[in-house]
Amino acid sequence: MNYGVGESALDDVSFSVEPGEFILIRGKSGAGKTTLARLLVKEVTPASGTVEFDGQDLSHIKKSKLHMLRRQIGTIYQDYKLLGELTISENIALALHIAGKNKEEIETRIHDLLQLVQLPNKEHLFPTQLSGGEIQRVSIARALANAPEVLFADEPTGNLDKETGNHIIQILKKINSLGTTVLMSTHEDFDFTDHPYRQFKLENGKLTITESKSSKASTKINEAAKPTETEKTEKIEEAEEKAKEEQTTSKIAESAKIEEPTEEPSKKK
Amino acid sequence: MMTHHTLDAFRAIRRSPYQSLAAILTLTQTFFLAYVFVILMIGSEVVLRYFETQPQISAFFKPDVTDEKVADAQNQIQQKEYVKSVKRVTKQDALSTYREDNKNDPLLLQLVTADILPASLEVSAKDIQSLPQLEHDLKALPGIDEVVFQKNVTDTLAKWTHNLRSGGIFLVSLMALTSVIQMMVMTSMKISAKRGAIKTMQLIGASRWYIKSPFILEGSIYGISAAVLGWLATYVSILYLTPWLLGFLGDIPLLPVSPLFMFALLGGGTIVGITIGAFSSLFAAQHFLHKD
Repeated sequence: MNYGVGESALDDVSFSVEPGEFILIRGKSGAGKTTLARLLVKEVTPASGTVEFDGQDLSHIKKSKLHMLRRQIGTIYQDYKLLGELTISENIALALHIAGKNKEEIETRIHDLLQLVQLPNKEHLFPTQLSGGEIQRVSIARALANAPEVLFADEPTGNLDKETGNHIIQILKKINSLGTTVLMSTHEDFDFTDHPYRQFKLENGKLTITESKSSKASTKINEAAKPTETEKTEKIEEAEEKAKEEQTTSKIAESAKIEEPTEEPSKKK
Repeated sequence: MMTHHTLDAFRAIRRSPYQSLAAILTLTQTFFLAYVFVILMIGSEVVLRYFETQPQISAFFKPDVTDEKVADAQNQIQQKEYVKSVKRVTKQDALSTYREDNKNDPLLLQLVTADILPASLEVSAKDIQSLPQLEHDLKALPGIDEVVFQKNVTDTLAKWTHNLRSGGIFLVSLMALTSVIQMMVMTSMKISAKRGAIKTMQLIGASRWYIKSPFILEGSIYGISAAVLGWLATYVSILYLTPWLLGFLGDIPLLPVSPLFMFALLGGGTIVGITIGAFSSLFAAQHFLHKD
C-alpha cells in the first residue's frame, strides 16, 4: 500500500482475524496503523494484494455498495469525527438513521448506548461541551450503534490522559468480551493481562506478531450463544456497573481518594 | 427519512440566508421573464387568431357610388366559390361606426356626414391562398376606390409572433442556464463547507443518496420559492397593467387574463422550478462525490 511516489505506507502485511478476537496493533506514529484502518473500510485501496471482510474481497465491492460494508464495521477515530453542529444524541442517531432505523428504535438505542458509555443525561450537549474522554465515549457509542461485527479503534486514546485512556480500554475489552471483534491500534502501553488478545507490531509499514495471550478458541464466542443487540448492551451495562463497583471497592480498600476521570473540555475539534 | 432530509434542507437554508436569497432571486428573475414570455406568446397567438377571423379584405367604393351599385357588387362577389362571407357596409353604417368611434369628440362629429364616407364590402375567403384572386376580382368591380388587404397585417403580426417566440425561448433558456450554473456553484460551495461532515457520514455508512438528498431538497425548495415569487410578480404586474392594456387592445378578447390560466401557469412553473433546482443540486453533489 502506498500513497503515491515514495515509500510504502504498508508493505507485505498479511494477517487474518477470527471472529471475537481482540487485536492490538502497536506502532509509532507513521507506522501505518491508520492506513490499516482505512484499508479495512475501503477508504483507500491497496496498490497490490487483497483485503477481505467476511470472505468478501473488498476490491470487488462497488462504490455504490460501499456503505453496506461500512455499516458492518464500527470505527473509532483518534480525532473522534463527531459532527460539531449535532448534539451527542443526534450524532449517535445519525448512524442509526443512516442505517434506516425508525424513530422509536433510535430513541431506545441512544438511551441504551449512552448508559453503556456512562454518559446519561448528556444527550442534549454538543461535543464542544464535553471533555476528550467523554467525546471518545460518544464516538464509541456511535460506532456501536448498529451493532457492528467488527470495531476498529484507531488510536482511541491518542488524545486522552492515561487514566481516561484506561477507562476507554476497559470499555473496549467489555465490548470484545461480548463477542464483537475489536482491532485497536495504539502507540501507548496498556495493561492487557486480564484480557485475551493478539498483538501485532507495525514498524515502517511492516508487520510482526509479537505477543499472543490465550488461544483464539477461548476468545471465540459460540455463534449459537451469541447475544442479541439489546442483550449485548444490557450485558455491557451490567459488566460496566460491576467493574465500577469493583473499582470503588478496591479504591476504598486502598484508602485512596480517586475520582472518576475528569478532564478539561476538549478544545481539539 | 424524507422529513429528516427536509429539516436538514431548511436548516441549511437558515444557516446561509444570503446565499439562499441570491439563488432564489436569480431564479425568480428567470421565472418572471419566463412567465411574461409565455403570456406574451399565448397573447400574441390570440391576437393573431383574432385578426385572422376578421374580414380579410375590405373594398372601399368611391363616395359617389350608390347603395344599389354596392348591393350589386356584393351579389356579384358572393357568387364566387372561394368566398366565405361578404358583409356590406353602407354609407350610413360607416357613419354610425364613425360616430361610435368618435363619440367623445363632438367637433369631429359635426364635420362628417354620411355623404363623404365610403360604402365598403368586407370579404372573407375560404382559404388564405384565394386572397390574391379575391383582391383581383374586387379591384375589377365598378366604382372601387381602394382594396385594403388584411393579410399584410396578419403576416406582419405572424412574423412578430414568431420573432417574439424565438427571442423569448433564447432569452429564457439563457436565464435558465445562468440560474442552473449559479445553483450548481452555490450547492458546490455548500457541499465544500460540509466536506468534513460528508466524509464522516460516508465512513459511518451513509449511502450516496443519503448524502445527496438534503442538497436536492434544498435545490427544490429554491425552485418552488422562485416559481411562486416569479408568478406573484407577474400576476401583480398584469393586474396593474390591465386597465391600460384594455384601452390599447380594444376589441381583442385578451383581457382580463383568466385566473385558471394563471394557476395553470403556476403549476407548470412549480414543476419546472423543482426540476431546475433538484437537477442542478444533484449535478453539483454528483460531481463532488465523484471527485471525492
